[in-house]
Amino acid sequence: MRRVRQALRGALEAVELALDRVFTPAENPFYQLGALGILFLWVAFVSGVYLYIFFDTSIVNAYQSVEALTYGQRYAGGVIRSLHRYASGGLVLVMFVHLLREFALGRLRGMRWFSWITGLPVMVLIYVAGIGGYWLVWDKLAQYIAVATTEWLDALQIFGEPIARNFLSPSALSDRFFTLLVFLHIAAPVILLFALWLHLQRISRAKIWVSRRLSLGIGLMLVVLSLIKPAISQGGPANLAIEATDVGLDWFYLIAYPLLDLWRGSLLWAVGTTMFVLLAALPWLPPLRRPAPARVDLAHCNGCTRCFADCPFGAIQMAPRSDGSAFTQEAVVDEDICVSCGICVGACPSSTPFRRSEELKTGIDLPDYSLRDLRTRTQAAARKLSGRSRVLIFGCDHGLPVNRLEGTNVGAVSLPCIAMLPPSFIDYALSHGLADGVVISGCAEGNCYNRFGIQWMKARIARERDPYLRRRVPRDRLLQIYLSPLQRRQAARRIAEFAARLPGSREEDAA
Amino acid sequence: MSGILRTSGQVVFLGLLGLMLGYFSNRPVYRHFPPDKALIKVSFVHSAKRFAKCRRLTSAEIAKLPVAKRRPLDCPRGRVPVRVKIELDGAILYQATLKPGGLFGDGPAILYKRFTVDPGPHHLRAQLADSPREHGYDFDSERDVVLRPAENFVIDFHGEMTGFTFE
Repeated sequence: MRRVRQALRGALEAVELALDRVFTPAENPFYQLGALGILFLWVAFVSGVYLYIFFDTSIVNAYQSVEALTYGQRYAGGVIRSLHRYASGGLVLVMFVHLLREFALGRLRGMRWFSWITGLPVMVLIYVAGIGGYWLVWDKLAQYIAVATTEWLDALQIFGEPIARNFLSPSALSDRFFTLLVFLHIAAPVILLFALWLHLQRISRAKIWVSRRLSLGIGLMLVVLSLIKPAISQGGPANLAIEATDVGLDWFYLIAYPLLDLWRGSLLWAVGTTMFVLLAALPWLPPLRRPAPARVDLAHCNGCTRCFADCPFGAIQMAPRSDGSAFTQEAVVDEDICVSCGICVGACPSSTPFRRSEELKTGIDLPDYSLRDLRTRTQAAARKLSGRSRVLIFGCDHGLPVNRLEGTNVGAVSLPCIAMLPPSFIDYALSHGLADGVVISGCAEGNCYNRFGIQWMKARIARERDPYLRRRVPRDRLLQIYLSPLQRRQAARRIAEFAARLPGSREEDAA
Repeated sequence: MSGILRTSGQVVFLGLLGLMLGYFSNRPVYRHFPPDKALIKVSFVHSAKRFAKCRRLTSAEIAKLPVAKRRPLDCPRGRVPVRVKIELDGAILYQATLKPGGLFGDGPAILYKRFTVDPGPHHLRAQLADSPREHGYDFDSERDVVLRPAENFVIDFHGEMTGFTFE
């Protein structure tokens, strides 16, 4: 499983890197897949409302009403029908890439299980809504879907009478059953909205809107596609006296349907259920490694709210002081939600390596990777350095593997997230002569594993967000690189160039 | 990367996305059913007769029952299985004994089957037994049909009122 994930991650990173160049990291579609899905959903919603106004819900007139929409108002109803179709297809495409990407990045373990699990019913509801929509057109494809779906549902043997009998012959059809399908096609997306709300519950500041430029690009693409290849009905109105033979399937929604002609319906249920259960079990499959959640030390917490403001997962709440101290608030960690990224440690004003106390402590810390550990590792990495332009890299466990960049004059310390690093550590490394230059290496730009690590780190260094990097730190001895693991050569080159520019380097001496 | 190159790249990416959405929304075409064949569907939902007829209870038997459960008739719930046989041109197309549905075997027997056959003229015979009889059938219908390619021909059964229907 680990190898599959790594291979998938490598492939996705290669695509992301290419898209970074084309779109810039801020506009990269792969970094906003969830928001893209919501964009497609909105297009489907709005176009669906328009279509419903003109749709006749009776089985006799449904097909004619869709045809009137398509050809009677070609540049309104026709285009909107196509937008409805293609946005729904885009939704499925984006949904699967989103699923694969979160799997590849391992964003399903720990507290992230909640978003993973709540994403599964979202997938099911998207399929129910999409397949139900095809049904309503009541053309030859709809006939095929109606018969195949009901025969498949009957394999469950939960209905008193096979529901496929509703589509046995033209005389078996009833308006009542068809109206039920219309209701289902409207109800499923409404429930989907609730499921999406639930899906985003444990993500603070969730990105739900795609950047304007990309939204315009996607919108334009959908309109052009709708004009070039309008969505039309297939094979005339449904006629249950004639079996559907060749059907142009929407492979985004109906990819499993050909299996119904090869397998028994019960087997497809078994395979589908097994896949669903496996997907649901993924967050808990071994190896289970859940680092201990962040812990507040009230003796060093003044209730400043910086950790509360910076936590990307809303795992920290501020509560009334419980220790009788003069401060009014204290930070409280919700252990079920904490992912142990350490961003709170980096945000805490008490997190400073300059403290001379016997045991280095801070207001909020990670038990498995404490501030004290960080200082010890920093000192150890610095001790190994030799030469005249010594560089110390602080890297992220989820980004560029910084340990592979180590050399005689380059040392590395990796953290769960780059924003775990308090800016005072940069000052500490330089002012104590541990290194001649410091490199900050996070995840690839726009692709932070812990969502806001890069953003917060940049803002702290730029003195736009507390805790600020002190003014006295010489900025020419600091380099920030936010590159993909695939850009190791570029990283090595930039670090070598940086080292060469450092005051006291050989090149500088020669100059 | 220059602005023009970047914009061109974005157009190419969105174009490829559109191409994928447009193509896979109804291509490649899937052949669900061979157009040179015909389909016969045999389906019914039918409650067979009960194992035994209702028996009138004697006064003594009624008196033995709890007050709330006293009734004049004792009707066994279970139904007999439905035997069905479908012949196509004298050969057996389908033959089965269908158990009654329900936890107590008192529900209807259910059948839903699809058979792919050659189009053209055929002689169909449908037989069904829904009584405790061991030999022969309670219903027997025959029909000469000419099936067109891709035709969906349905054999249904609607009980004593209409028996088998062919459409």
